[in-house]
Amino acid sequence: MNLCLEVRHLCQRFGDQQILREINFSLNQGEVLGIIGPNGAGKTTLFNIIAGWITPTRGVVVFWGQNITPWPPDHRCRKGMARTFQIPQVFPEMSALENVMLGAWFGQEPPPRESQSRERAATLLKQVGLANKEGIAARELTLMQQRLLELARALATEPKLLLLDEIAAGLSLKAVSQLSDLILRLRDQGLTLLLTDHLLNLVVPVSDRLLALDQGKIIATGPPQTLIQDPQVEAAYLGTGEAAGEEG
Amino acid sequence: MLGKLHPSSVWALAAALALIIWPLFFPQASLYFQVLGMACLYGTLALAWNLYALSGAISLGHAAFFGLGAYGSALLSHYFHWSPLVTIGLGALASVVFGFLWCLVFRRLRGVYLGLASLAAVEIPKVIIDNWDSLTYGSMGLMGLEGLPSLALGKWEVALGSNLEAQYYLLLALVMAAALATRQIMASRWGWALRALRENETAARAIGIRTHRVQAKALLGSSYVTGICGGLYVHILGLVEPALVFSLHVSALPLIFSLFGGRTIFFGPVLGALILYPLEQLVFQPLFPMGHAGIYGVIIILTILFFPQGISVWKRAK
Amino acid sequence: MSVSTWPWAQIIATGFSLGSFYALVALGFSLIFGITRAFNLAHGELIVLAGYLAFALWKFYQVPFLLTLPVSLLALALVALPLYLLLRRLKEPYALNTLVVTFGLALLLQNLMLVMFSADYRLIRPDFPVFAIPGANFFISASQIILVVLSLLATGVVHVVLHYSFLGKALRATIQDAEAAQIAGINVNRMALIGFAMGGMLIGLAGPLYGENMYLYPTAGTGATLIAIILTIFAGVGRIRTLLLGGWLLGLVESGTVLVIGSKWRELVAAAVLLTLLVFRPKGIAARNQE
Repeated sequence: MNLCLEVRHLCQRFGDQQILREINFSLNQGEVLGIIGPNGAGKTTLFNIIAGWITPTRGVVVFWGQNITPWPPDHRCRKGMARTFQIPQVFPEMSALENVMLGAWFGQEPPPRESQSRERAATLLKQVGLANKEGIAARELTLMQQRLLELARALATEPKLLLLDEIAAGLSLKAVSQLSDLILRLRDQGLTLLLTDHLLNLVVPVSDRLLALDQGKIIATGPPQTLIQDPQVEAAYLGTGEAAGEEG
Repeated sequence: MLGKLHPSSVWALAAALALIIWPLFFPQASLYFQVLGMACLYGTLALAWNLYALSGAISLGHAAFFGLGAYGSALLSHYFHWSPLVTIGLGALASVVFGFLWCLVFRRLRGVYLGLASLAAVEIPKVIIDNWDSLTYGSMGLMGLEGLPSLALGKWEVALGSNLEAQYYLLLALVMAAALATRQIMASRWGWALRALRENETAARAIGIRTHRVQAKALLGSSYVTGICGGLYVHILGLVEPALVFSLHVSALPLIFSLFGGRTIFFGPVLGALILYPLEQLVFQPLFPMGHAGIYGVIIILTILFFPQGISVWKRAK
Repeated sequence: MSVSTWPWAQIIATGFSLGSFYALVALGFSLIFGITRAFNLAHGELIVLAGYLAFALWKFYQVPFLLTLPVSLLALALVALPLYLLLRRLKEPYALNTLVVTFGLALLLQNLMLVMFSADYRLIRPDFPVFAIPGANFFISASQIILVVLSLLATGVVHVVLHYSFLGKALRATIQDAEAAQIAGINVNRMALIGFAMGGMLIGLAGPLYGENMYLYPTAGTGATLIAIILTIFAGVGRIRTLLLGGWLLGLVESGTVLVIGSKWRELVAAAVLLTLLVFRPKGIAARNQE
């Protein structure tokens, strides 16, 4: 079992607010890990630290045995860590194909040729079900289509670890189920995945293991079936007075 | 190398041909040589500005690079008496040095704040040069600058300094080279990185693009070519002074030409320069001898209001 | 010149009066930017235009200087209206588009003023007395007193309106978060219009004062715009007392620089201050909101 990702003694402070306290966990190759927790638990901050967009106050992020804590996001991507965003960050004026092509062209070391990138992009678009939108400008796509586009683009960078940030947020049950199937297929192809999810509809069916966060601390970890019945997790979502309880 | 020939490229080719052969039909047109020659120089300047703009940065202070290149060349020419062909190339290095500082200091600025910073940045070289009388002659500037030299090729001699037609062809060749270079850049991997950075910086970083390096390259290239334009300008005119080369006017023109002509296509800035500059010089100057440059203000306002993508894209969309 | 021989009293007096005026200059810009997020790069040119208006009235129609003020106030409030309509039509990216459009407007105005008034330097010179302060080695002119009094008065009025009136509350809400204000029922468009009108009046007040204390010439506006931007970034939006403080600081630094090094470095000092602010507080203006 290879250790894909390790997070050790991670702490994050913004001004006088302690956002994350002593986060420690690891992720094995081929695993699907889901990070859950109510709003304000620190999921997004943790996610952004792993992806390289925030430098932690303390602690290290280790990727395949290398300390990548000081690496900027573009470096992480070139070395095999790709991510998607909760609000899809597409290249609005470019076509779907061009969006994904850039992922292949810039996300790998050494970079492939332009023609190879284009071919790869076409293949990936087919895989996520956007083949008929190849020539459409990204800003014309729906939210779900843009999420899929971002996913295809992230895959185009040939990642070893894929980070999905609230990819199911705002989507219908049918769309979430489509995503689940897609993610499971990716897992079967050997990809390691880390997902955050605010609600539980996506993480529960696809994850091997869940990590529950509340107020910056890990309060529970284990397989989905056990965790969702954990009284501490329930309390975090329902009882602590955070906005979590309002969600449908 | 030809690849797919878009209809717009065909038009560009036709226009280029027209620009080359029209003097055969109008041999005594020295005024037109001067005006169109300058339009070509401004076209090159606009392309240089646009290179930086392709990365998403709207600079309101390119006069800093223009003026530094102008003074760099003028001072080298004045003190060492080297040929302008040498001093222009060397003088523009001052612009690159400033560009390097700009990259460092403005690293975290975006959008409006970058625009404001660039506006303020012009004051630095301007005030320093204005006050360093012992080196630069201060606000009086330098007069009697050596003009462009004569080139001899075997039995042919071309007096670039005094022969307006030869000057025109030089400037035309320059703008065509710059346009072709821009076209190649935009189709290259670096060009796509610039576009990605422009459309969505966050996404660009997330897929592995070294955004700071990509943008720095654009700025350094832009500053160098802008400096070259500055050097050419003052040697053609024969004089240099701070108010002339560090003016708001110089910062505004490449922006206006590029926005009007279209920022996202390789000939857009040139189109803007070739249409607007002769219009202003030949139509508006006679009508308003004093404030004719104000027309540029009107044009930029109309452009942003009604066709913010520039006329070349506007025509295609219709 | 050693520090002990610097004309401290003069520096402080000039710095204080200049600084109060700077705050007035910045106030109009800050209000418009705060309420509508529009960057008006033609701010300085509008002030100079108002100055020229007062100059024309004073010189050609023998209007007493103090009476030119209300005329200018009204005129510029009216000019602000078409500006508001123009900027309202712009699309995303809004701030950058307003920057470029007003950049063009500044260019247009500079040339218009060149045509109308030529490049000669103009100064409004009413017959005001100059007072010598007994004991200290400097003079105060009535002009400076008027400058300070009117600047502080205008700043005070705006402060009172913003913090002690119902309208002011609505304006402040719009400044803080226009979207939230709209949801809360505030007519954001009307707030924008009022913002522009107030900004116009402040410009109209600043113009004649400018023309009376500093030379008017077509490209004089860029310096004023620079000051407005510096102070707005420094103080943050809608913070009038900080704006005043910043104005005084800037006024002191400048008058000190001018009296010690010479006036030719003024623009550089201003630019250097702005660049320092931008580098260390790049989101200075939008520190509260997410841009």
